[in-house]
Amino acid sequence: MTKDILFCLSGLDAAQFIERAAPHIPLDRRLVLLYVVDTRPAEELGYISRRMHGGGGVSSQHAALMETAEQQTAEAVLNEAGEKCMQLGFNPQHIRREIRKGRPEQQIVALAHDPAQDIGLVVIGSSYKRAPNITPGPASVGHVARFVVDHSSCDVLLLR
Amino acid sequence: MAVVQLITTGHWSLVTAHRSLNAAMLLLGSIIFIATLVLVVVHPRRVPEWLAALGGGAAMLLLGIVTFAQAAHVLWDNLNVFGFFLGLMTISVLAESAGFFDALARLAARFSGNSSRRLFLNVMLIGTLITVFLTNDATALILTPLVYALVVRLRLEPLPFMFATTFIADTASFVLPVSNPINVLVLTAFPHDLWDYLRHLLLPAVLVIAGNIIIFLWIFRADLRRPFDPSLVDSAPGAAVPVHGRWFRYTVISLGIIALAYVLASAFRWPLSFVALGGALLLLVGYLLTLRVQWAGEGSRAGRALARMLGTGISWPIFGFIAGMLLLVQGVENLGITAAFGHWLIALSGGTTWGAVPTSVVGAAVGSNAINNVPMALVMTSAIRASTPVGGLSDVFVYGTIVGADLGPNITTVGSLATMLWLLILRRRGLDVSPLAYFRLGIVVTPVLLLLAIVALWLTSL
Repeated sequence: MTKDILFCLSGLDAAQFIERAAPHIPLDRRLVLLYVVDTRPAEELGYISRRMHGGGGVSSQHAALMETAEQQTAEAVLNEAGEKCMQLGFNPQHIRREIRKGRPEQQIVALAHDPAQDIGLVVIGSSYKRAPNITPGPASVGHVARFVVDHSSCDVLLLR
Repeated sequence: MAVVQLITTGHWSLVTAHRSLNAAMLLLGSIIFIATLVLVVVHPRRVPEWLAALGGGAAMLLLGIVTFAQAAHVLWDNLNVFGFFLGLMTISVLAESAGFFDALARLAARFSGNSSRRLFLNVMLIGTLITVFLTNDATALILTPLVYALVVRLRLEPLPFMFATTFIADTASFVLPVSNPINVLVLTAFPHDLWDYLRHLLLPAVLVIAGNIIIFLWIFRADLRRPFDPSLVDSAPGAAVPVHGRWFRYTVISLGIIALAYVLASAFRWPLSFVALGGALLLLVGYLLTLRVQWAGEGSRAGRALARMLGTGISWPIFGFIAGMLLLVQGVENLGITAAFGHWLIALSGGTTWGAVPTSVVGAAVGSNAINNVPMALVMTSAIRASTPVGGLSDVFVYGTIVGADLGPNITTVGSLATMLWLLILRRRGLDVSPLAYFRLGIVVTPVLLLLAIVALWLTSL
């Protein structure tokens, strides 16, 4: 039984990311498309708003607004990636979409290590910040990809 | 002879007893002041800041350090501050309900083409505009979450944009007296007309805002390289509430009138609370009239929605916090502590403008981070009043306090030592907390901005 492939998607062009990774992946493999909502910025906003004169944290109305934006963006990114996978000939029945919340690097590694998931390969872009024009050299690998390479027990395919 | 000796001894005993009582009061008052600030900073067992402040103020009253008559006088003198807070928060809540802030955030995106760098610049400019007329709280608390939601939809890294709005909220908060409630607090004690205010603070404000924008564009240059898809701006449903066209137009016009009234009130030294409360009333009437029409036949739905919105949108505890702090600081002023602090500040400054500018700016900035900028501004105000610096030195101290208390909180950014300690406690308990990216940025950038402000204030104070 072959193991699953985990695609780590960010807000970048998801279709282009799949297109670049596809030549390295057999078409009969099961795919997990993962989008992690990074909760750090929202947490930082919570700390900031505590200190303002009228602040007692982010209001529930604003929190709901931010969460809706995150959820809809995550769904849009995963749909783009899913459609591209199907266009390229991957079996729609073998494509699973997953949205998680937290630190992206930790969520990716946790999912890759989860025995229930049976992940054999993690596919990740080398840097969110510097994409899509990444030139090789020091600091060309971002902290999320570096963490995944350092901590993942399965193979990692790093896309430039 | 014996009688004289007895009288002398008795008098001496009375004097000694009086001194002992004064010393005891000084000690007790100091303990209350420090304990209250510690409670505000650490808030153990989640004791809210307003309760700690009111407790400290009440203790000063019960010990007789502040008389009830004096307390009533102090609170009455600061009605302008309370009114300003109430009016301002009401205006912000109603303006948000009209979709005003959301519209501005979208406008920033529409005028950016597909450039995230231009969007970043526009967000900072809009943050400046909102801060100048609706205070730093409106920018940090209302604009920031909306900008966050917008940039997430545009698939951009949100952190730089959040840094931009929260920093500019403090950086732009001394352009006008209404730009930060701290300014109103200080200027209620030391009234200055708008022209004098602008003569001293406009140049520092403009330089600091420009400096903030330039430094941030450089720091975040790597994050701002990527273009975004402009079609995503319109695809976002985004608005916090469904927007009613007529209510939105009414709000925009009303905010224009309120902004003009703020400038006129500052120029003619009218109490700013009148403008804030009048503006709030103008918007309240407009809200009820425009939305009642929309909801005709549905009874008091608009009224109920309004009550709910104001109940949750206005930070009611702030009134208790300020009232408690006013009494607490009056107590230490009565004990001569703030006068001694003021004399020490004057001595430190060497009695010159050259020394007074950095002393007041840095003193207020450091104090605002150590405790909170509300008590720090009150302590500085009391110190200036009690030590009565001569000549133009008083003005320099007043403006220096405004700059330091407005800009200073950005040093620790996440909200003074209070939040820093809170974060450390959470981390010790094993909770995964923020990497404190804000703190790292604040500790590097704010001293540069403070230095810029000091140099500019030197130039305008000479």
